[in-house]
Amino acid sequence: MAKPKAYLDISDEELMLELQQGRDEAFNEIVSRYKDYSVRFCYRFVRDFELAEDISQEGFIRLYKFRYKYKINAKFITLLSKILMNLCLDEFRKRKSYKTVEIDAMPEGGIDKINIHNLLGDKSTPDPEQEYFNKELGEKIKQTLNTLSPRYKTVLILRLFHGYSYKEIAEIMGASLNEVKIWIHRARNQMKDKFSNHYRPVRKP
Amino acid sequence: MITRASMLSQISALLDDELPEKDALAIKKHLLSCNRCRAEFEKLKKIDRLLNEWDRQATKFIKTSDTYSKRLCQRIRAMKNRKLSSRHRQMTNHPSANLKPTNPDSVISYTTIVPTQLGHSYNTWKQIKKIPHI
Repeated sequence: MAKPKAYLDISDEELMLELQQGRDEAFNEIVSRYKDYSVRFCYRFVRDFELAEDISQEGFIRLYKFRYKYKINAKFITLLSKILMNLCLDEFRKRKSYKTVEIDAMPEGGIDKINIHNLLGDKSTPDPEQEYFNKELGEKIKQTLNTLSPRYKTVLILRLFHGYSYKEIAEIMGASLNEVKIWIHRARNQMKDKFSNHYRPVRKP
Repeated sequence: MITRASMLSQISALLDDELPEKDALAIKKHLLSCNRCRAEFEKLKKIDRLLNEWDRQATKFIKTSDTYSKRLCQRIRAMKNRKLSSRHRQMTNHPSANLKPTNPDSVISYTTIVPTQLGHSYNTWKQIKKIPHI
């Protein structure tokens, strides 16, 4: 469907105001601008594509439902991220997966053995052993992330995967700058400890 | 004196480029002279790069499916219909719906309730018109 010309150069915040005035075409434009972002956002939390699509749709529905509560001084992307984050955390609570994951069976080899450029079975990897190691490592990273508390996992996702600044993270999570700084530090430290404990140095023959 | 825990927290903020210039310079200077802190910095940096690369590989092909917008539209319609049917239930279950016209009280009730119900119906009709077409 062709987009109305008037909405192409309009900011997200203005689109929300249009939506508040009952122009649903503005909602279509918001969805087309942010559908990929929202699915990727949720995927980073749940690591399941279908579930991520489902949650992101729920996010848009919530945005539509509470459109009249939007205030122009709020940044749109912060609002959308906040809605999606809360839905993902609700999903977490339902599953409580972060409590049930076992990470004892980590692959052996020091952290120095990890070839970051060949991570997760890159096609250019010629070595099947390395490929297997990378695939297994990817699975372990996922599991290790799931052992973090929802709060620490959230700050890591927002900081490392989305590249949000501390200030933006504080706005999304409704916390202070100092709290965010501490949470990120602790989350990083926990990840480092979990990797250090489970990846012993490689013994050379 | 700066504690070790506080130093590690500063190192983490340095990695994120979130320190004021003056503090960043002081921490960088410290890293040059302290092997232990430098090793910590390198480890954290490596974890960051590892997670970043893992996420980049895992999400580079993520794109919404072709039916995404259609399904979203259906869900919004369903939500609106649920809202409308619950409003309909409220209207039909209202005690005033069972009042007999012979009762003098009911005449008063009808004069107040019926216009309200008509107002609800008008709003309902307006809501149906508002359902977006994506």
